[in-house]
Amino acid sequence: MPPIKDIESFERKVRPIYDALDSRNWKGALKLCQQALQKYPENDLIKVLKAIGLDRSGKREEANQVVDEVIATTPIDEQVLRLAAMVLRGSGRLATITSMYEAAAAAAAAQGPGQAELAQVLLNDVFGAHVRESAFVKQQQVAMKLSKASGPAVGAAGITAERYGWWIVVSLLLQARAALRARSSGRPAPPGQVPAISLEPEKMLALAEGMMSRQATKDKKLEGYEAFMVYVDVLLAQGKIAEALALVAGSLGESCIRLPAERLQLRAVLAALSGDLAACAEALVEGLRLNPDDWGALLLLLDCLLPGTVQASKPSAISDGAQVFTPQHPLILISGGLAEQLPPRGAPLPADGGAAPDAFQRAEALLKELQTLCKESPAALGPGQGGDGKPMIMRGPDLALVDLALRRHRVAPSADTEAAVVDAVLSYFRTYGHLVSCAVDLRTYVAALTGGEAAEQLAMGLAAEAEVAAAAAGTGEKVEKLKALRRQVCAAQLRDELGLPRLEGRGPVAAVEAAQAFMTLYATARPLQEDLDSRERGAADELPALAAAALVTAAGTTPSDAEAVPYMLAAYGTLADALRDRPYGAAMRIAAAELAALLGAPAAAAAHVYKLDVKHIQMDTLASHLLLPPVLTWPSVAAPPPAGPAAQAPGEAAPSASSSGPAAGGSSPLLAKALADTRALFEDHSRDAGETLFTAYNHGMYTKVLEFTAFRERLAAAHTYAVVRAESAIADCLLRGGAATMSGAGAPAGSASNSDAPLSADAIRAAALAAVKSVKGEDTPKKDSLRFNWDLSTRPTWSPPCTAGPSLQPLQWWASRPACARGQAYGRRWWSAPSSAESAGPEAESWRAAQAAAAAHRWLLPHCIAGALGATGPEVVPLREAVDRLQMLLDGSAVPAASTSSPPAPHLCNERALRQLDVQLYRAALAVQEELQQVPGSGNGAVDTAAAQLPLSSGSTLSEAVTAICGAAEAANSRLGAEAAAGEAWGGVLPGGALAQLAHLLREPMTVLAACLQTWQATLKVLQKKRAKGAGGQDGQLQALAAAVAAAAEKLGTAARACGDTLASLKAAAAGRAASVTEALLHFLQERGAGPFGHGARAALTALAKEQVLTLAALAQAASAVAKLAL
Amino acid sequence: MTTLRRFTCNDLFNYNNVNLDILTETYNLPFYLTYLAKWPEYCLMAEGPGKQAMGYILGKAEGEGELWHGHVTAVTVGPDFRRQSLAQKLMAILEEISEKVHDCYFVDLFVRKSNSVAINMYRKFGYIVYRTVTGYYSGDEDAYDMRKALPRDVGRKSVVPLKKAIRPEDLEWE
Repeated sequence: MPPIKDIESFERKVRPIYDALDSRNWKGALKLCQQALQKYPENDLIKVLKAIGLDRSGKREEANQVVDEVIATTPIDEQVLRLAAMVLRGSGRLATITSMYEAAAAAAAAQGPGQAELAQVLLNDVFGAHVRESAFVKQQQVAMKLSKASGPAVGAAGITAERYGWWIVVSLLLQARAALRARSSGRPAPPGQVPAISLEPEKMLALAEGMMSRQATKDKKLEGYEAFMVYVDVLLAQGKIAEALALVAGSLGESCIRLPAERLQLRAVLAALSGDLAACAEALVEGLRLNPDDWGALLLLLDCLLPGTVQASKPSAISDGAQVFTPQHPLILISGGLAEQLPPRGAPLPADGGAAPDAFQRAEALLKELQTLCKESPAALGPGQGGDGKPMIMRGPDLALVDLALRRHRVAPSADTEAAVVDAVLSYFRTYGHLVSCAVDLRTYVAALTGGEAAEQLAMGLAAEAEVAAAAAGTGEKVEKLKALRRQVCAAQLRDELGLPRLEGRGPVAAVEAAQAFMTLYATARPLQEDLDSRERGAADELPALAAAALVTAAGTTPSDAEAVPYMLAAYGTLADALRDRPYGAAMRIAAAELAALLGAPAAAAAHVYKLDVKHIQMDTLASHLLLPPVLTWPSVAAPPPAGPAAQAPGEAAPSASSSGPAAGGSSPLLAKALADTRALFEDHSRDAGETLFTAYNHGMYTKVLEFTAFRERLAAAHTYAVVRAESAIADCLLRGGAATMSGAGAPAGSASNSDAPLSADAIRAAALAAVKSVKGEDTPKKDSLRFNWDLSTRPTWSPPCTAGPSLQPLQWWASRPACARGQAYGRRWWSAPSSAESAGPEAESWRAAQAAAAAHRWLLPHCIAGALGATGPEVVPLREAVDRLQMLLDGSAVPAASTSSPPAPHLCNERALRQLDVQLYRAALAVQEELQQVPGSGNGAVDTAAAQLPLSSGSTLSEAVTAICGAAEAANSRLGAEAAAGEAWGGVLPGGALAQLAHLLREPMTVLAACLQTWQATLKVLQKKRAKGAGGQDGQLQALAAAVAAAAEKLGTAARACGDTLASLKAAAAGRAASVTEALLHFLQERGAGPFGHGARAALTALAKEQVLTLAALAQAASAVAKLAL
Repeated sequence: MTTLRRFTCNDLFNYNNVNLDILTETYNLPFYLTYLAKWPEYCLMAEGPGKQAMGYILGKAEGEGELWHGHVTAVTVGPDFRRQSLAQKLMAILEEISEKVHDCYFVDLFVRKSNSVAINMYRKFGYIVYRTVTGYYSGDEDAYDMRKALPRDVGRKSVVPLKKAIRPEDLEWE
């Protein structure tokens, strides 16, 4: 780059470009760049600014070309490099960034001492580039160079040699961690993460410890908290607990951990880890006297005093078989799970079993002492502990007494110990029943009471307490009335947690009554909170969700799916009424979204979810299981609603889909948005993670480096990411618009954009061939390598986490309705606790296994579709292999087999049956293809005589597959007819089971089958022509196959048409009575004691019914598209 | 009944019972990670029984000279855990860190002008409305810049209210 002579005039040219870019005026910026380049044609800075402008205006390829031109000249200007790196990073070209900085650093170094400082700064950037690429070995090498080159003072990059030393340590630890992970998973570490010459992770840890210890001895100090905590963690990872304890207790601990309370806690937990439970308890008590509300410390104290009562999630034992317990505390395992890679180290149980009566007495005495402390001298407890302003509410010791009672009951259960738990719960309720958190606090304790009598007793006690409070507040102030109401709400919640009143096996009436009771109480809240901001939580907001749950429980008790519908609609209406006043009640919105999803209203479901402003990380934790199921299950042309407070909820506006009719093929903007937003979360992070990681290095936040690395790995391995990649690819194959609005490159060209065109086998084949690129066969998800980030605790009690993958969630619910639709005792559900998706219990374990198998099945489908349509290529898994893998997944998974008994109504397919249909379909496709290949004349001049003896006949395989698929469609179709007839009594809204089954069959197997048949018919025609010319006659086998294919097409076409007819007539009937459906429903419900319903319910129910009609219409169109394709 | 500990990346997977509250913003990942990479001591999670997220605070230290201050970027308490003075406890700790670790002159925060519940709460904690920032929030809503002086600001110069509103582009930091 030639030097600039007149800096000022150059600045005058460049400044406006920056301004234009800052104000997102890409066009203007590009124009200014063009002008500036005329004066400074060789200037790299202007060129890369132009590249930024191009990149931002969507011309990514051109931008990269410009950057490539610039870096070919090995620039060393920091700003040029930084801007070039921005463009490269946006395109995911991390390796190019690395080589760019390496070249720049080398070039600057070659220029001699004059550029030594710049060379050092650029080397710093080389380190950052390796950090971006997770190249732990190379980053360590660079850190060593940097450390050698910089003196004791702050270096050119603003970093001291000491900090570079820590970069080396952290780089080593990352290698040790990668090696440990590789060892435990049995898979080799990713390239560049462990040294080429294999070094045991233990050796690497020892090496890191040596470096840290030298640093500490040399300077008699450590850099600070972060360095200290890494040191402690490395000691722990090596099992050197005594050394860690000494470090914390010593002068280094004192200088690095500035908050005395934190240091005390760390000392306590290290003492426990070393087996000195008494010392741990002593330190904890010392801390608790200053902060008696510390729940983590209280629990650890009880664990130490009564180690025999620890409820381990996984029983662990040391080598001699003695029981151990592993102390839990957030202060250990701080470094992003370094020590997590190693087997847990626990403390052995004492000889007396750790649950002796005197130990219980001691624990109780200590808790009571702390309880008194909270009550009597809150002012002595420091700022934020009640020391200033209003006293802090400190419920810790009180709840710990409940915990203690439960421990006693667990160790030696008797009627007395159970009664003691009841008393403890009641006592806590007496003190804190007016707090919103009371029911949440007590949930797990109440859930542990399984004995019927104790539960009844507790429920009665709670009701009596609540009533007393209500009576006392009757004439008092509003504040007192609200408190009394909260008590009643809490009592109602806890009674529900206890599973009372018993609703199962008692028919819908009891459940409707229970719902009424909740809503009667809810109504009393209204006058007390008229001036409450609509965004705030109301005093009784838990109740409508509980009422809805009771009504869904009623839906679980009905003999048929059709009869369940009015109760589900009653639940939906109840929620809608409450949401009018309290539009952001998350539990209510989520319940409403689930109901809409079950009833074929994807736009309504999405609107509820978006109203809660679900975004970013919540695409993984929430949208994965709240939003993906409805948009994957149901066709919809509705536009995505705006998110957050601006969003209108269903019923507040006419459904947006009503304006335009559904398109054939069914491109779905809702689905496209959900998939694109979710992919963006993962793909953006994989691109951006390096930046914040490098920031952490620069700021000396070493524990965060380890934590961020673990986080990056966790997101890259997210089950949701695998699911959305598979579902995007499938949507692309089936021209449903999965990638239509996907940002960035990589969307298969021309796949989804032509979704309005009629389906054709050729289009599907081309789309599938493009789609398989994003779901490589070798990357098929596996249970052991996936991470499960779904926040299941947000799910309603009556909507357990599905095992079938999001696309079959509504169908699975309907197929096991009586088991799913149970709305009580949330705390007893395995998935009600935080992080339950990754918990160790057997239910979570089998849920993960099933989800992983489902994800793998979906991952392989694009390959199957491509293969079945005759597409081959290096990226397509051969059809035989793909089918074998589908079969293996089915054989190996714990998915229950289809019921063999013959129920009165045609049974809905379960996940296994549907996946079996895929296997049958693609096996048949394979058989037909193989037979076609062996037909003489298909290849290059195969010998005719061999053909006559071919024993192979794919006709029967094909016929079986077609029969199975059409059978499932016909079953759903006839079921739909019966359900519609039954539904007349309440306005005709249909249950979602048979509909979801049809939706799945039409979208996937029937469409693919139709496309295959079309392809085969074309091939057969050509072959028959060839043979007619060549041999002068028809081959019998060829004829037989042609006949089988024709028969299959006929059968499929007929089945699709029949479905289309039913759906169209149902749609027509529904459209005819659209105005009266809500009235009919409300009348029906009122006769059964439900309601009354208000305007919110009416509007929402009308919108829901309307949307179901749109779904029927879309499905009817899908059916006619299949029929057209088949015939 | 709170365990106060540092906020970690994994909390992002479990904070929905706090963040599903519509008044609590869910930010993109670089936002949280930048705070954690620069000011981990200022990012704290309050955890309740059963490892439930109860609330959290995110903050930072910034400014120059007498404007060196602690900033509350986000403080939020889940709807289940309100009215227990948890926000006060979180604020007190941030103030303590600003005073003892970073030796700041004051602590400040921004709040929507319409969020009277929060404004009143901050007033109770000793914050005053220092100035108005027009159109600070998306949707063009104004913000109040509220401040509380720390002992280092002996003359309490940092909390003399400005009469004139300023525009977001005139803010010293962000």
